Amino acid sequence: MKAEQLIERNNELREKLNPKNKKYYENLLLYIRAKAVFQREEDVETTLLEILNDLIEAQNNGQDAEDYFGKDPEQLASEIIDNLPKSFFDTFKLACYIFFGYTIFFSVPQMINPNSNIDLGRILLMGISVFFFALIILWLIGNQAYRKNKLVKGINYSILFILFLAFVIGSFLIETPLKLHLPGLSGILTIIVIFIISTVIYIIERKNLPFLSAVYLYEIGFSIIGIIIRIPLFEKYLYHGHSQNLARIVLIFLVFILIINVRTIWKILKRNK
Amino acid sequence: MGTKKSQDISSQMLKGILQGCLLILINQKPYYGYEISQGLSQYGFEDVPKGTIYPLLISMEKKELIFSKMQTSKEGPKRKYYYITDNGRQSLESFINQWNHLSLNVNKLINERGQNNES
Repeated sequence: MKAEQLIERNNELREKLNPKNKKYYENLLLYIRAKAVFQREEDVETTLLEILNDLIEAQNNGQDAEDYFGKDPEQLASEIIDNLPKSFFDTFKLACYIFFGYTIFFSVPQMINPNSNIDLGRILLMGISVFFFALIILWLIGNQAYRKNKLVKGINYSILFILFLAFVIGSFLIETPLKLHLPGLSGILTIIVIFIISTVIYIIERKNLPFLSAVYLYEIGFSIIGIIIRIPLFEKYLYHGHSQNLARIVLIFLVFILIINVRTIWKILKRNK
Repeated sequence: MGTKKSQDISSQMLKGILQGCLLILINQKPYYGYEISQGLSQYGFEDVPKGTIYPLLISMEKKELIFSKMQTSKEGPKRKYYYITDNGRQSLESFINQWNHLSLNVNKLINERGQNNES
């Protein structure tokens, strides 16, 4: 079974646990999912489902999750993660997705304007740090599962918030000399290359990541605008002296994206509830 | 520190012994997680938190002592069943030999010297 099917099965089966056991299992699940970033998702989900099935059977035999699994689930969860084989390929894939996700989201809109410079150095730097940022977020989320102390929880969230702030500010302040000017044909070609890469990712991963459709639509829209603006015939109408038109197109497009996003988020929520 | 260290040793020992017990069980027929825990309880391991068997099963699978297959169980849902490998059988044999040797020596020691202290 693929990771996605395993997760779906897990969502269904979890409902069979009584509230106390469910709480116990969901803490374990959160901890393992968040901390097992270097392991194969399929291995992680297989183990989680195996434990869930056994907890349900224990519950049917009148045994509490805590009595069955043990009083120190954090220690056992760490041992489970340590014993699962590490997968360089899966970690690398994760890093690539985060990197491309960042690149598509932040660099493609910048390319709309044919006269602006694209700071390639910044994209590279931020793309790499966004990966580490994601790892830290996951680590902190995993830590929350077994922290009862409110102060520690508060500190964890504060660290998360400060990091996020530093990250957003950093993405505006950092400037590198590695700038690209992409007017006309060179810009069109770059947009097409990025578009092809994201299409491949979209086709492979659309079933695993439901929000990908929204990102992909966003990418299509900006690519089309970026290309049209670079065609000399349209450039005259859309850009030179008509920056208001450009702003209007972008605005309409952004509203459209927002609507699509709201629908996707709603769909994701519905599937989980 | 001293207690922590002795705890580590006893948990290492327990893991080695548990691994041997798991191999004995799985050698008889394919088992899934909960069945293994039931089997252990049946033989007096009620106090062992059954969570310990999961990391152990994963590490045994990694060491190729056992392998697993998803199969439909008697109760209905697909479960992860564990099978023993040739490596596992060898490891089981050497566990039984070591255990016999160890328990023979320890029992001998207890019988000959341990009782002297009591009286």
